[in-house]
Amino acid sequence: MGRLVLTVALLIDSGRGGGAASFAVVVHQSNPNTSLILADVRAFFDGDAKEWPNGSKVVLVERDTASAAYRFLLARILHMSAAEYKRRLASIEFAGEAPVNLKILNSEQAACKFVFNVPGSIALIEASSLKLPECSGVGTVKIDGRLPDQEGYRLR
Amino acid sequence: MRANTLVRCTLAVASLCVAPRLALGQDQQSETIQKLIARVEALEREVASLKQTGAAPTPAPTTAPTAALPVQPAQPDAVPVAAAPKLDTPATAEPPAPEPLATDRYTFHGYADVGFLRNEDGLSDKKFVLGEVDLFATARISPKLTGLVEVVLETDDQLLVAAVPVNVERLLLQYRDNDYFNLDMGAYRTAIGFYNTTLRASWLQTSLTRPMLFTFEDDGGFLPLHNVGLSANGKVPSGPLGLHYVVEVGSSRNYAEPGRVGFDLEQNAAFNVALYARPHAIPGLQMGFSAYRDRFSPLPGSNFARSVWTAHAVYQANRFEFLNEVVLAKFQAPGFGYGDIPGFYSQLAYRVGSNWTPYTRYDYVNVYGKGLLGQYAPQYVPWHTVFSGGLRYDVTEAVALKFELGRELDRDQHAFIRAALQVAFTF
Repeated sequence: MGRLVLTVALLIDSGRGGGAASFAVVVHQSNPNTSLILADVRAFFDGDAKEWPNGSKVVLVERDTASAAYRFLLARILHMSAAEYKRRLASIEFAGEAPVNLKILNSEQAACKFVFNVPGSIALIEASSLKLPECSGVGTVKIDGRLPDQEGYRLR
Repeated sequence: MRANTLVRCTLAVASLCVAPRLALGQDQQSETIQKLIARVEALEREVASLKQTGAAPTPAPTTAPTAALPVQPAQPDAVPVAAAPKLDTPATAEPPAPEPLATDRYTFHGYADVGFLRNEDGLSDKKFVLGEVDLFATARISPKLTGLVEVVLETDDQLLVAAVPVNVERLLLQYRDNDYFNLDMGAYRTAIGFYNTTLRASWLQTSLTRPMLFTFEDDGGFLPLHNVGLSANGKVPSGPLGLHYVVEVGSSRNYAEPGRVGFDLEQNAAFNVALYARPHAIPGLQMGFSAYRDRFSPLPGSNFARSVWTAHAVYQANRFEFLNEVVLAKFQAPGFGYGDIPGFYSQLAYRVGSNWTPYTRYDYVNVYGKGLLGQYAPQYVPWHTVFSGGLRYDVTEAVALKFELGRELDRDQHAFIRAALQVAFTF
């Protein structure tokens, strides 16, 4: 009986997730850019920077519009509305510049899977999702020198 | 942490499996529990082993393209990416191999608008209008070559149902080697100022109308906004300054005023150079200038030297859109005198909430000169000032409703106020 109680307690603990208000930038494990400043992240996601320093193409991985990660991206990183963001990306392509490579996925697991498989990709996910098995194979990027679980982390 | 979670989950499942069996005999129950515990311990050892190696699990093969991913709606978990990394697969430190670039990538966007105008030219007319239909498409021919075409159906000039003018705005073969050197060949939009290179379709621009300075050539505009030739562009290694360059060599299209079609318009050599900065320290800020020269033939037999100087400072971020551009166009020819057209516009918009964007703009142009050109130029540019104010409401991400009032002062008529309502959308 005691084991059953312990089991329920463990199940509750494992389901908590914790830190839902914190977000993490993840990249492919082979990506050497494991530390970025917030301006870099903004430049990637608003289409201003389309290449990594080594010249490889950036592939943006975004969550669907209803997700917390997407809302955080718009409100706290890009400071744009969804319509403005759509116009921004369309304007880049319309201006004749190389279009932004963007993949929209509707789960944290799918985002991690994609980043795991595509070397030039970068994604913004909830920090709590780093515990997911699908996210075990991606690299977490320091933002302004800090990881999501450190004091002063800016993506909260 | 992940290992602990796995163990906890295993324990949970094991316990849940065990629970219904409480009614069985104690010996059988004990034996089952022992087996499960042994299994959990085996799993713990395996997880510990994986943690010690510190390696990534081996991904399954994937067919997803790397740098050729079109913008597309959210997809379910069963997206065409590799299967999830499995913890029970043999550990390896090798990252997945880079995937090959796709060589066929097509994009298509359409922009259109429909609206209602009141007193558009000060003639008290009221009418519904179908705006232009802008069809934009690109196709990646190879990793470094892209084809781009933009065709505009200018329905506002429609005289007959079956006679809608079709204007090939751009037709380009683009060579893209890296961020520092790109070459466009074909019909391009000149890099004169900011507005001409970035904004055309109604949905893309915040305001309902374009700045008067950037009126299209076939609508009577005096700036060369479209040319045919070569355009090289890219970044200038400049660190945080974010410098970009554009060099264009081509033939300018020379248009007469509306209604003067049928003339044998000349094609004249044109050269343009532009430099602009997007400083990293201030995201959304762009400042730059351009210098353009060609020969201009607005009338048969005429051939004037034309030079256009522009400068702009633009800020688009944090809900603000602040556009400022200054233009100086100069026309001259031996024996015909000269005509100078200085002008500027300034537009300020601020998004309120998530969908409402009020805006205001002031357009100004002056014309002066000597000789025949000095006399003709004011007829070519009849307006003097326009003060506009309006509101854009983004109904959805793809549909915008706009309302605008404008007070225009022309040289040959009294000031008048116009109003317009527009629905602009993309598809």
